[in-house]
Amino acid sequence: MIHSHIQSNGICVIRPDGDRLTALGANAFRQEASQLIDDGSNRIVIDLSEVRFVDSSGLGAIVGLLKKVGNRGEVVVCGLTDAVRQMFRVTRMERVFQIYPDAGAALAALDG
Amino acid sequence: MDSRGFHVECRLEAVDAAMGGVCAFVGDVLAPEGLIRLEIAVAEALNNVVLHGDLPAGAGIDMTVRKNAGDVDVDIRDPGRPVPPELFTAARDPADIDPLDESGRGISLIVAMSDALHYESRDGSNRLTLRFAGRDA
Repeated sequence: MIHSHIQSNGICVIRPDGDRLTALGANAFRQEASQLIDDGSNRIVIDLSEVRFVDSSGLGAIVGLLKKVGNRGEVVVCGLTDAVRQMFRVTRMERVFQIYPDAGAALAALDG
Repeated sequence: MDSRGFHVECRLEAVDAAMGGVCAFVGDVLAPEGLIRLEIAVAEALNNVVLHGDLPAGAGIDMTVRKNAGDVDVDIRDPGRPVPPELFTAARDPADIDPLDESGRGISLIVAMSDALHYESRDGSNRLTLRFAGRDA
């Protein structure tokens, strides 16, 4: 359900599998990403550039990862496509997530 | 007026599959922003039925999508547990929900993303009608 890559600086980039992060796959996404946190990753970039649509369950899974990391690290998102950006906007997710245009910008910010 | 019917099995896989067909059908009527609003609202409504509707075994969801130059109406009918109407009438703005809440946004998004909403439940059948303004509205 996810593709993940841990950079040499320890930052973990997670890319959901497929172009929809919805109720169908949200739990699997959450479980697989949570395992990465349990394994020690606490600086995480969620790259949504290949995700065309996120519903409230997918959004809840992303929020759950943010809460799981808590003050031990940081979870940021990047690559929001139009529908995903609209979902983040109407739910005011910019209040809790740093949002970057792409993975490169997110990695640079977390490594800064 | 053009319309198309969709039968959606009571499975989350069927919801994702149906949304592709619905968006393709109305893509020539709605502006891109309106199409996104429709996809959010209708997907949330269908998910709500699948996850919380407690439909009888073998039952599904019937959806009729009507479009014209002015707007799109999506009519969703299911034989499951009714949604208490006050959940729609008293729905909060999604922007007012604690951003750290991991659930509980579905109904708010259905209300906020649609331009008009009507819900009724009678004789064992629930009917949710959502309207979305088209490009010419």
